[in-house]
Amino acid sequence: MKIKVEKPIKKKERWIGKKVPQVLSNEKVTGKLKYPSDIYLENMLWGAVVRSKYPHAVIKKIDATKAENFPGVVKVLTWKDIPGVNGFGIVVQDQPVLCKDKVRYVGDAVALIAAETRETLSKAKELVEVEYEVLPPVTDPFVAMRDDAPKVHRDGNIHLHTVINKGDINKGFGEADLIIENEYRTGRQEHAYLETESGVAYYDEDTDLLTVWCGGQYAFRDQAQIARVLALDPRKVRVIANPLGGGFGGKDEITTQIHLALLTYLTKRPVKMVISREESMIFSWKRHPMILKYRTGVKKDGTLIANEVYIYADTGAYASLGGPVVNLAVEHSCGPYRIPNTHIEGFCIYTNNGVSGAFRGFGVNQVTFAMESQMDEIARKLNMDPVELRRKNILKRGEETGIGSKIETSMGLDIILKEMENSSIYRDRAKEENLDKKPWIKRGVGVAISYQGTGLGVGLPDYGSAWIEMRKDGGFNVFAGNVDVGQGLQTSFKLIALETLCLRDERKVHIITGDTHLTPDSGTSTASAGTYRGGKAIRMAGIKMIDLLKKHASRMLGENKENLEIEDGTIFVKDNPDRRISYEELGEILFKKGRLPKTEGHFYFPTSKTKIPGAFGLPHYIFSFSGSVALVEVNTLTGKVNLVKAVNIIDGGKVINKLGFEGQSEGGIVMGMGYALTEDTIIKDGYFLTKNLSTYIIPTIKDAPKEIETIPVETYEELGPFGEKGIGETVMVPIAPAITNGIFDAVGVRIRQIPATPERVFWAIRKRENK
Amino acid sequence: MKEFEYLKPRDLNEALFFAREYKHRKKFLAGGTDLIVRLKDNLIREDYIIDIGEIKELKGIERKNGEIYIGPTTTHSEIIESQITKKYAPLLVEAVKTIGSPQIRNRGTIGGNVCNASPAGDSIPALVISGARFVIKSLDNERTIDIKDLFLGPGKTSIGDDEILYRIIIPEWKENEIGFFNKLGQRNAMSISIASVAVKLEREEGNKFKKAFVSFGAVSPVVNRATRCENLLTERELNSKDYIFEAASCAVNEVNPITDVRATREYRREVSKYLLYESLLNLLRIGG
Amino acid sequence: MKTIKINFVLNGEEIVDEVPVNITLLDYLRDYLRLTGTKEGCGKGECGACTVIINGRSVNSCMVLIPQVDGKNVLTIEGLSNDGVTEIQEAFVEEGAIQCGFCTPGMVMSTYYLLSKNPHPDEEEIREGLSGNLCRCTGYKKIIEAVKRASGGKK
Repeated sequence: MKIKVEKPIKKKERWIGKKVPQVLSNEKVTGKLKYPSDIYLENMLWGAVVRSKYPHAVIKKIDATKAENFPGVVKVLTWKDIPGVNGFGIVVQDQPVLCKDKVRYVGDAVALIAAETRETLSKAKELVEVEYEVLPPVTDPFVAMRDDAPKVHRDGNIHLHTVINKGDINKGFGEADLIIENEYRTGRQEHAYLETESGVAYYDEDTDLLTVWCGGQYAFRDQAQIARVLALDPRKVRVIANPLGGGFGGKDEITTQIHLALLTYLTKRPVKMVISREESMIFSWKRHPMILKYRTGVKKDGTLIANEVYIYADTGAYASLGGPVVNLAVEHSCGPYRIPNTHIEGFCIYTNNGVSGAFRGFGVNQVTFAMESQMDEIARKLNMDPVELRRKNILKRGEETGIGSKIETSMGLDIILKEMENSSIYRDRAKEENLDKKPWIKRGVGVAISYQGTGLGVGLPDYGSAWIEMRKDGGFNVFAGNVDVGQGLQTSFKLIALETLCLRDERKVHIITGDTHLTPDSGTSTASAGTYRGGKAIRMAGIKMIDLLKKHASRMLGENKENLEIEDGTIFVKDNPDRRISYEELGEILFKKGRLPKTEGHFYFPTSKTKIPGAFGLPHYIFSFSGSVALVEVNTLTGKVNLVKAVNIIDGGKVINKLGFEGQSEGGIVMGMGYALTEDTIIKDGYFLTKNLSTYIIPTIKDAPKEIETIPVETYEELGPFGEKGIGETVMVPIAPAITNGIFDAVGVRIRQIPATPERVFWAIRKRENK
Repeated sequence: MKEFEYLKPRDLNEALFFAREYKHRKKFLAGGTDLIVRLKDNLIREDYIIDIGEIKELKGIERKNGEIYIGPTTTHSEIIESQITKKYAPLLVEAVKTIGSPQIRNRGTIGGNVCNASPAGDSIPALVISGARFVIKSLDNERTIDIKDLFLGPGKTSIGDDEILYRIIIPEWKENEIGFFNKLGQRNAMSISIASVAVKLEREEGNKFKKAFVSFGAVSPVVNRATRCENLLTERELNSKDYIFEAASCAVNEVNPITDVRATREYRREVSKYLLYESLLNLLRIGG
Repeated sequence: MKTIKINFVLNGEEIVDEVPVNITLLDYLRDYLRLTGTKEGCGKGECGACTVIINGRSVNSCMVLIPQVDGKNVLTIEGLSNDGVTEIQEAFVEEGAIQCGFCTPGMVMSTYYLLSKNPHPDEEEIREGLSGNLCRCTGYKKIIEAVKRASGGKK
């Protein structure tokens, strides 16, 4: 299959890379923009979910009579009321829409209620009587793996076990001069988007169309999942998935969409559901907490020779994206380094600890934390500069990764390392460290690098689609299905369209996204590729549009197409520029003729030509790369760590939307900092102890570093629109190990479990003092 | 939210009347930053909510006879902004600055912080080391108690069902006094204390102090004076780091923390000593 | 259901109504008046998305019982935007301080309050002033720059 490549544009770009106000920012800043949680409809009912009381239990009986008879309650639904398939899930539909036989975590849905008022709902929820036979909860992943453990699912607790071998691991260790072996643990991070899962649904009897307006990351998949449950033709289900108040992967899976659809369909009235923060924190997906065992062998000159990795991921009650997360972790487990001998095993394990699923980074955060900590320890033990050690081992284009695949696309690793070395934090690290204002406050500098495979991977349907329609005023409507989760996707689309269509006036392009009935299916807003998918398709459609417009203009001007040029929305004859026609004029003429042009762009996401056997989806094909430098401050008396300054060096190909790019990088640093220092969902015996934002600690403005510098490394990715590739995830990955490496630099203490809370760091410091 | 009867007394007298009338069936509402959370969480059994937030007699900050009189429904923001408390109750101001957020401080009141009697209430250690006294009124009685007689346990004060906290009285900060409030939270803002300490030292000469007041927050069911630490701090001149650390180390015997979602009891116990040590180093401008 | 009569000024206009006594100002603004610019992020006063100004003070409207609003003067993001966009809002847009936008109305209201008391805050004062508003997308950097720009400080 021929892959369309781009040649770098010779003329100066007007829009690409420029600092422009983001689309819809005026509506957001005045509060005028309506999010799904802001919609109120005539005759509307409020909906709520009754969830499981126990983390693991058999359902003996569900009696909804009292709730149904409660004044103000219009409908109570249980599994019996589901017309189609009682299941959902992106990969495997193993999660019940409404539980029938068993509950597997405290967020499992058991019943749905629709009532006239919100107040009625909370009372009615208590009146649904469920008889449970409590089962012992499975809470430890290692216990879960044993044959005698209680089974979360019928076929056992190991959802996926991936094994990769490269070279000869034993020979590799035999040749190593130094072997570093450690166990790492990572926390259960919560997305904590400011807008909880919410939406409205309504059914129009005249058009026989069920509409669900609920923030999500892939409207078309939501549509398919809803249709499957309601046994409807998907075309009879419309999903509008944006705007939304944050996603980060947490709104990739189904949230309230199916529940809303069921209630609306079976009451024939509009229904609204707004999940409370507490309920959201309990039922929604989390980042997989992982236990990672690493054994790395290196020669005394710093050359990596062997890496043995075991990854244990707690996927909670249902599959969701656990399999792909573990596989992506396996793929990235050895870092972007040349290692000839590897043995990697990834386990995706069911427990009754909530549910784990997609979260920005998707498994790469965890293994990068481990591998970059290994690298830091190796550098120390070999007395090598940490950047130099990495430079010695980083992959070059075309070389084999730890799983044996080759990266053939653009790579900016060498530049990232150069920028890292030249960054003020790194250069001045000795000086920074002596700026101790108080002797018990120690400063340290840490570095880390990462890479991120974008797109869904080989063997999975992944594509982009866009339409462009000319309007009679000479402007254009641009349609792409990808959802804008706040990352600036609509603005990137606009810039790509403006540039491709040779426009000067930014008002001439209007972007429509995320609606199954208005936009083409352009794939997800996940895997760092939302902008890529829609953007590339828009570019393709735009190039066709330009050609079409030239054709029309050539007829009208009586000139050969080859003699025409376009600039600032005007088509003119090269050697006689007074002979011209503007888009406005062209639009009016074509409108009168009923021939306003519409073009389309479609492509399949470029994937690897080879597959890694036994590892579904691997390898990925286009990668983004990143590096972070962290200046941390450790209070040796209390263990509290502050991130003082950070540098984020990001290779996302060409920067399309400057403010969006920087914003993602800055947000990524702070989210990664939270992951490294404060964020953890605490579950005990299957019950959630952190249920609100005062116990689940995300960074405030006073925690954010004093300085964040973002350095773009614009390697040119010829397979991307204008050379772009996605960065949404990699921006948050290396900062976490950079911080813990910085802690070591500051106080000589190696933190191998994150979050590195004050308590963890405190005990590590005291232990070291006592030695 | 739970249903309740809302009453808004016009003045203190009417409030006291309602207090006697409804006794244990009522809850006072001032700022609401704690009560409203509890109402939403279904933790309130009482049926009557008595709104005392606007009663003039319960507001205000006054300076009289070498003491500061603070009305209980004075908000944390008002305490931070008042010229009187800034100058004459600086440690209380430092403590109150760490409560919640600007929005919470604009509504939350010092009376609420005290009467909720949370072991982690940040104003409390500052009030303890200030030697605060509390004027408590009922319809036909007025009494004044020391802070050591106020707190009975987590969430419990000795204020009766038919009584209202009327004034908080703190002696003015003296010229020869220095103080420090040190709070350890999980992050730098909007943080409930893992452990905190309030220290006040009355200087005799140089680094010799004639009186010491130390109080730890969030590490005991009731906030007390850490008398062992205090004794060591006045026994000798505070010139050596080692001695200061020794004095601070008494903390481990003065606190009785619990393990919860924020921290373990072992950490709270140990870190209390380090918080005090750090406070003293800061106060005395000695390097660690 | 117990109700109460309330009378207060909202965005310069008088509101007279009879409402259940056990709802918050946030509920009233959104569910009753359909003024959805003020957002609910947590319902517990822990995120600041619901920030409004009452009698010149910034508060979490989810932590205000509707009876407490009687006789008061309330300003929401809609009221701020009534006569067009303020300098604060322009600055947020220009600096790219808005991503998903859900925290934005609350941030703007807190900024408005901060600058009303302290027209030229330094960076530390800006951070202190916005410490009650959580943002998950931006990392706060461009928000700080927006406030600096709006206050006429250095960019």
